[in-house]
Amino acid sequence: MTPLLFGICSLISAWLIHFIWWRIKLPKRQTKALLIIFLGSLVGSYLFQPLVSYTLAQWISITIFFVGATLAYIITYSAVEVDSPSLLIVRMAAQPGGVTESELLETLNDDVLVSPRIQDLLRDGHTSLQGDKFYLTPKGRRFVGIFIFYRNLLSAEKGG
Amino acid sequence: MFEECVLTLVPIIALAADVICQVVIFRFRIVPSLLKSIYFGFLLGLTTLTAVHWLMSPDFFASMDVLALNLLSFGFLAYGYFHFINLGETARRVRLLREIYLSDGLSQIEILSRYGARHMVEVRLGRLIRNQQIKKSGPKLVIARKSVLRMANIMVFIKWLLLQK
Repeated sequence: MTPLLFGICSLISAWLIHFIWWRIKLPKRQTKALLIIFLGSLVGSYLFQPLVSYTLAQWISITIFFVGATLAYIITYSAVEVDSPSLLIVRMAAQPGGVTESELLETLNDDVLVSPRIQDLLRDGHTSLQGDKFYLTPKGRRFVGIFIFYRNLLSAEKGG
Repeated sequence: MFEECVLTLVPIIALAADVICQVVIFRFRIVPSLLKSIYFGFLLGLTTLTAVHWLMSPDFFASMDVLALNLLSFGFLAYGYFHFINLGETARRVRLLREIYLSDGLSQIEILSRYGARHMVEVRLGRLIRNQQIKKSGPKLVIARKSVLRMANIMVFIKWLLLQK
């Protein structure tokens, strides 16, 4: 079996475990669960070495392939888990006759688009609530720091 | 030995070429659009990968399976990089964290006044119209390109398949 085919089979196996687990019970921390499944499957695939007898170079290639695919899937999944405002706008515009801007703003309000994300930041430990104010935790600082650094590198604006 | 090492790591080398190209092109505004800079970076990465394979493989046409594996690996890594840039550009979470980072603590009302739903919708609408994915038809907004609707429908299907929502 070529490393490419082996890598694809390992990915499919990981995805099936993911699908079955999600059908049994949806985990609270879905991204973390996905990382456990996919990276666990990668480590598990190394146990097939006696059967496939790949060289170290081939295993490194499979690892790069698998890690790349895992990251790509988790990034895509995050857009599935949380409704993207752009895709919500597109789906509303696709309704027969389209949609007016005021209809968009009425439907896609703070309660739909913003407040749940603020709660996600608390849930994921990126912010803490002291009194009525939100502050960044060290985890939140590290996370946003990466993006601020990169935005500055690109000389780009705030975004959002 | 050296050639084997390079061929093993070539997806990462190609990603590095992609990233450097994209950063330089956009930072110095060689192209004004972030999306175009990402496309150029990806093309350079792809060219780098193919060129390295051509130069380093003992037999280019006999090692197509290795090339295919490396192309897919680079594709996934480049996709991840595209989304990393996209997160910095569009993610609500990142913008919210940035607003809190730049302040000395913010209440929910303060957060909403700096970055509320109206601003979010207007920015995204502007982007969708500029990218000709949505257009105005009188007072109404309608789909301009079916491809963006297909993407939205794929997301709906995946959500139904995995989350039964």
